[in-house]
Amino acid sequence: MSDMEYSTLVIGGGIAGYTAALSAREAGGEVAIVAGRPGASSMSSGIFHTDADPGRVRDIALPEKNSFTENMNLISIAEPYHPYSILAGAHSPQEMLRAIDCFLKYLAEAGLETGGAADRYMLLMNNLGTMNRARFALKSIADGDVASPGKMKLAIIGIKGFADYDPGFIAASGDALARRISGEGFAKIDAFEVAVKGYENSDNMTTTQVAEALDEHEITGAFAETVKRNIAGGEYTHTAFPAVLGLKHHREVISGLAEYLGIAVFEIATLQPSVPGIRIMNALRSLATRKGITVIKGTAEAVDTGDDVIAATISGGSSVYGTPQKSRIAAGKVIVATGRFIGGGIEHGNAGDDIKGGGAGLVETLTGIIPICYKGHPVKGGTMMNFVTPTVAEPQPVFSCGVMVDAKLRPLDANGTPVHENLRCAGSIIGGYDPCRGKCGTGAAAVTGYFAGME
Amino acid sequence: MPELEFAYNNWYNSIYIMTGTNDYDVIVVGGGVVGTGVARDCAMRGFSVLLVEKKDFAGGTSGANMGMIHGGLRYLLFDVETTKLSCIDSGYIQNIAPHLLFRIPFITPVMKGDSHNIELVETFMEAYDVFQHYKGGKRHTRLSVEEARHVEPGLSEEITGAVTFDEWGINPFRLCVCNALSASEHGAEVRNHTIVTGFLRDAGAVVGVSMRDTFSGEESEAQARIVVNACGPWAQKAAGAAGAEVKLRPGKGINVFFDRRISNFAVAAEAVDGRQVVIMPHENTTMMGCTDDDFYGDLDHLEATHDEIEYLLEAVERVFPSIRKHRMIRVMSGVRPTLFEWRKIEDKLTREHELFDHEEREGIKGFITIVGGKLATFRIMAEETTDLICKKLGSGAECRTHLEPLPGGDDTVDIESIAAEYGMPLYVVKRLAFRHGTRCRNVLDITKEDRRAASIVCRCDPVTEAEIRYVIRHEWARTLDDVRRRTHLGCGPCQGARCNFRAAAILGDELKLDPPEIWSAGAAYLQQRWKGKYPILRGDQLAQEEINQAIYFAVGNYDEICDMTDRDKFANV
Repeated sequence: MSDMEYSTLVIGGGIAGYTAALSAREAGGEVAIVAGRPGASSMSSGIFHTDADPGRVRDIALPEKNSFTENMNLISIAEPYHPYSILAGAHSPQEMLRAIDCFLKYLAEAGLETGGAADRYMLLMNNLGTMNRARFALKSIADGDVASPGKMKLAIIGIKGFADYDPGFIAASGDALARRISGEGFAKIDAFEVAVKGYENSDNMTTTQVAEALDEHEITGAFAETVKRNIAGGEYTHTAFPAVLGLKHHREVISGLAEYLGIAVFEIATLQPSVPGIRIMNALRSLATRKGITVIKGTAEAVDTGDDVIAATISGGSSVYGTPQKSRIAAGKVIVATGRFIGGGIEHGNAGDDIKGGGAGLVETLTGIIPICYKGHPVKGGTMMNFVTPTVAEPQPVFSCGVMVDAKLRPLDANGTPVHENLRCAGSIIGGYDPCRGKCGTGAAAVTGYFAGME
Repeated sequence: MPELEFAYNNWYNSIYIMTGTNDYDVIVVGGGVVGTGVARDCAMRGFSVLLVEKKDFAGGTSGANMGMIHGGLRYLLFDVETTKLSCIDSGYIQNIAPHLLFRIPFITPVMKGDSHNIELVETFMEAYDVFQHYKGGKRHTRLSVEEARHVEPGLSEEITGAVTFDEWGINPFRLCVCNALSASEHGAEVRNHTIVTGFLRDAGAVVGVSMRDTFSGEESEAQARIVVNACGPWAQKAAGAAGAEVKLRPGKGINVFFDRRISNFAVAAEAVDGRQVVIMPHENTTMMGCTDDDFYGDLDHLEATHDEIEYLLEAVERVFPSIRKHRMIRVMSGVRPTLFEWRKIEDKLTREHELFDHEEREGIKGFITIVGGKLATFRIMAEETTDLICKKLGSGAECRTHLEPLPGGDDTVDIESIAAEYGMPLYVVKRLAFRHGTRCRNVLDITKEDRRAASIVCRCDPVTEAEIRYVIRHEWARTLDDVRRRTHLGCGPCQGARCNFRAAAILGDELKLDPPEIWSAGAAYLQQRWKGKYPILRGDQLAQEEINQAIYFAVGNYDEICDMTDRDKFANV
């Protein structure tokens, strides 16, 4: 086992981890990031939820257009355990917004343009036939903002054999929802289905299959021609495609389609494997490498918090050592961004629910010494049944469980004392918020990642 | 009783033309395996029949059992008659519905300190062997420790020996639907989602029922010469409404499902109270069950508890130590319609059935209750009931339900040639043929109308769009939960993550629903799946559920969609 020294070591290669690594690099010093198997960030829809529309979530009357910064003030009152609220002790809402801007800036530097604004919600369609509100998204998705449907003449293009995306249903359902939410339907909305060359007889194409096919110049060309033929004479202002317009060459595919069709082109978020999510992770990884961050492909096995220098044991193939081996990496600061259940940052063994047998409940997997909390209290030993409710539409406490942190993002032990001066947490391993129902997953990852790296 | 789901008015009106009062020879109340079985038998013997089910076929006990037409091994000690009847009828069911059956080899490991030593277990199995020939089962084999652990590597190192025996598994949902289909094809009128609101009385006799369609709210009445109460655990309440007495001692049981098959055999295990429980391969999952506890709650709102789940895990981990490492995906609760007896513990209650002739007992003419029994004895229960009806209505028609195949069970299916003919993957056709038998061709014909129907909607099973359309068109499916019972939609490891919204759109297309109704259907199914997920939400399944939450609540925005639908209407599914 050999020792390597970095000023910052980030464990976990999701949106929070890369944001932390990039901001730490910006702050100066040598940075390494351990990125193992893909986690929840690789499943990102490309829509960046930063904060829920508080009027909707908390059932209170609010002015229509709440800005991000106004919303931060509301959250700090209503959700005291939310990382936004905890960070509010040290940072102003404007600073938090700057953290999100910084994440968007990183994506732009990596070649992924984004769209949206901090003072309003866009209304974005998805392949479930519903719509959701978000302030930011990848530009290819943000361009589909249904701000004024009455002015949109929309052609929804489906792909033959890619049946998870039903353009007819998305059109009908989207129109009905637009009427409910905006009070007006689309000026025009039609559905088409177009075959991808080479896949005409496929019944069950996946997102990545379509995206990889469209990466081929020749296939995209033929595809664009067919689309143009289909929508000819329809006087559409926009064409919408499933978010599968290229994996490697998405910029060329999307701009090429828009140019050839002569109208706006946007993508509609689809299911996993999510092509936008893969694009985001690829982009962040290559940006990190470009900026001189050491990206280690491996798994952190343990964090040594015994003395002043903090260190992690890494296993697996690494870009540093070439061959799979165990290595010990010492760092001035370790940022744990290992995610929740998908990422594996938090686990619950089935055995953990046997209370008679002293079940452990939810555990933090890397250090094993940071308690997992719900609303500030460790959940150790309790049955999981206490953290779920029988109605699916109601909030489920289990999805707000996570590590408690202080305003410096240091994880806290059961007594509320930082576990280690130089240990930080970022992303969804931090509890106190439900990333899905709270509509704040990407925002919380970016904000906590940014401050954890910058501190 | 719960008001079910949401109103699909337009569709309803196009299917049924209500004429106010109808006359039938027989009205069967209850669409479980017994009710559909009685409706089939009566229709086959030439009676005019109306079958009324308040929810859906197999929506109660018939859909919440272990899916076995087992010979009743455990009843051998105290209830030999049930064992023999079960075995004989198991043989008949194999003849009439071969496509729905699958063999389940069992292994009973013996542990040090078990209440029975291996000699006793083997003697017991020898007694059971006597009945095996009735149901085409194999005789027992005694295995050494090494042999047992070789064929079932998951077994504990601490077993002292094992004995194998043989049982049959069945798809209980399809069994009920096939009975209803057969009844309908013999002229019966079949209605699900129709609740009986009262019995029509005439001078003490029961002469019909009043009912309400739970979708449209439309009320109607129908008269009949005989009304059969086949309501399972609800039979006591139904009998009471007719002024008759049927006394039950309902016993709640839960089954837990694990992702995929984790054992080669069904493994029997002794629970802490000496009861026998089992883990067994069932379709593409493993089932662990079941509990048996006196039930005093609301039959329409069953919830599994932490204790029930731990009781099963504790029992199984003794012989199959890795059980807690496997991924639980769902828990299912049901209530047995056990006949009332005082003093016995739940496990020792008889599984025999009883036919109540309320004319003879209480002077209520025209009213019969059939209750008790078990899945394997449903056909004989239906036969006895129909025999009594024949006697009362003066018919000499003979029972043929054990001779005439159920729909799809008339022939074997050549999976390979059908797969080639329709251009479908083999595994899709294999699963389809398991559910639909020879009628899988009728299902696949839909792909000729529109090739999109060949796509797989639920990858866990798999279930195609064509099958979903087929069961909506031809098998009375009106909700996604109905589709689930008929197709296994959303029953795999992801528990409806990918299929829910797509199936809702297909349901909408078939039933001409508008988008808000489609959202309601999706939201209702989301809740229906959640009901069986939240009690076992632990271990690796938490990661899967995080993905489901991201699809439906982050991207799909279903919390807002749920608000747009009528919450109360889907809360009770």
